[in-house]
Amino acid sequence: MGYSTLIDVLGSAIIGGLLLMNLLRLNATVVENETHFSHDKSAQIDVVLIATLIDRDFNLMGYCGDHSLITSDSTLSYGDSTSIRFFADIDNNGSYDDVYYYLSDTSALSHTPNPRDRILYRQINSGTPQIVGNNITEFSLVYLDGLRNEITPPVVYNPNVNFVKVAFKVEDPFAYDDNYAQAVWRRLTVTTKNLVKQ
Amino acid sequence: MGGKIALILVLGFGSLFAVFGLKMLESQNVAVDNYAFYFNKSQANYLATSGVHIALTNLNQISHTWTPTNPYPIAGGDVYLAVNTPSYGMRTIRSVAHYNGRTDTVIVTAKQKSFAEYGNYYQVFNNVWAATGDTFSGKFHANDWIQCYGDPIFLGQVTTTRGVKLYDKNSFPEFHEGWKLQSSDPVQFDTTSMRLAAFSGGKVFRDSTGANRRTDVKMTFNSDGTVTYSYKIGSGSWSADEIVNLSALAPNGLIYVEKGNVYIQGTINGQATIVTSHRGDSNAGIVYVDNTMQYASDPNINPSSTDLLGLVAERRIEIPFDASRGDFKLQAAMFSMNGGLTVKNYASYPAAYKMDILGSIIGRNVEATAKYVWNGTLKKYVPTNGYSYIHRYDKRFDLTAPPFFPKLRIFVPIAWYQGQVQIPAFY
Repeated sequence: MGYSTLIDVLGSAIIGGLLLMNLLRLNATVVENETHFSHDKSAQIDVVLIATLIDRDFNLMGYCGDHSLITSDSTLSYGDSTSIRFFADIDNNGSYDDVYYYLSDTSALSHTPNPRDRILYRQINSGTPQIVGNNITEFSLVYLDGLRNEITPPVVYNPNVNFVKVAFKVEDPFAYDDNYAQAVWRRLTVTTKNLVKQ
Repeated sequence: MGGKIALILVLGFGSLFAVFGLKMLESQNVAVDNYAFYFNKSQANYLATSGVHIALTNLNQISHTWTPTNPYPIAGGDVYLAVNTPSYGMRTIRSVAHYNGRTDTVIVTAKQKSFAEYGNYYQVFNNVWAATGDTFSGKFHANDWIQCYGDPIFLGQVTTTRGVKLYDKNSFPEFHEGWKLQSSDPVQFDTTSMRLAAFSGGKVFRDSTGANRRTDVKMTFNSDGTVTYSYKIGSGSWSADEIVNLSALAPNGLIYVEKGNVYIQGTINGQATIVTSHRGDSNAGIVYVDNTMQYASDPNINPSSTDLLGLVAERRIEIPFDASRGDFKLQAAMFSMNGGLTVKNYASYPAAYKMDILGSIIGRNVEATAKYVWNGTLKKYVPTNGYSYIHRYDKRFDLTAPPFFPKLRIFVPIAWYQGQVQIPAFY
């Protein structure tokens, strides 16, 4: 046991310490990346779920299994920039259903760290409103006439509405380093085929 | 000693990173699966929609009895089509698309629209302009420019094959439901099928001697559901009036005057379509509206009225000159294959009268019906002689039409149904 041993111990402690510090740093990076991946994945899955539902419901806008009931001017009963109410035969049973999409305010999710998230509800007839997404931070609706001109909302039984543009943004309720994972879906024009007057 | 610790640290952290790495890979896989699902689902939907368009194109351009030959390979997927005929003039197209394990179904109901669904439908405008003071109700279509002089008002959706032509910079037509370009569908209809239908369950007036003479028919509709009629073959004399129930005269509602003309007026209680054919005679194929022709149950008061009248003229529909007639009503869907709604000698009327029209006007061309002069006080053109018409579209024609009333050639979708998509669990 002499100086050389002491130098060995100190040297290995220093090298080991450096290695440990590197490993800890690497660990932190890995955890951060894993968290980002995980939150991104959740946001993207939510977007796909919501978009799939909106795709179908909005494409059915004005549809009725009993085509003799289809009229062009009573389909969209109400629409503004964040909510829409329309008739569609969702269950294809030959009678119209009253479909209502609307957004809560931010207080509904005040217990989450994200100050912007809201709940997007979907209500069919007088049933209990279903939660379509509970981490929506933007939900935007734009109404267009047959010439693709914007119609100023609110629209109430307006037969001029031929198209509806939909966009929404989903954010994770929890942030990592104040960054909220987010995903956006934007359908430039949902051509609601049953709205387009032939 | 120190080397062992370092080795243990490296191995420990290595294991830890391996676990995290696996989790990250799983996350990436799920994200990719999620994206792939949406992509495949969207592709399947687009392919199913394409299938519908393939079917519509073939039905409209190849044959109305076209049947698909499945499958249709498109863009890496397969589309299976089925076309059914649920009723006359209707088709149901079922398009099922498979793409990368995802399936989507679109079911479209298409129909040949009735011409009656248009408030106004014209082949050509010629030198006539839709002008200030004109209000067009219902859908408006022209296989031509829509010519606007001043500020005509179009309440329904306007379609045109060429566009909108303004008379000058001061012309500002109002399109309440906008306008758009649409392919041409001519004001033509082969009345042969109507003739056959009239023979099988309606009434046919014709020269049955084989001499091929013109047949003229006078019909006065009575509000009790009967019709008083007489007819004349060639230069012969008019037959004695006969009064019969409309439902007995033409059980299927079709009254066909072969190579002849019909003169009508009265109040119809029931449903009928009156057709006049010309068979090459320039003086035949005309429907003359002598005076008020209206429904017993007025749709203006009773929107559920079931009274329906269709007038189909292979030449034209004409209001004959009668200086003593005054204002009158005309409630019908009118199809004038080689003319329009003509007011004979309109400039010779002693004053300007009103022609109150409820229904549809389908014609080869737009006709002038009144003489206008400039009124310096009102600062606009006002009618002085003839008939200015007040036209309203009969909303019932959105869903129904007079029996056997002509339909457009093409099938158009009226209802799109999209099947439900099974969303897989990604978590």
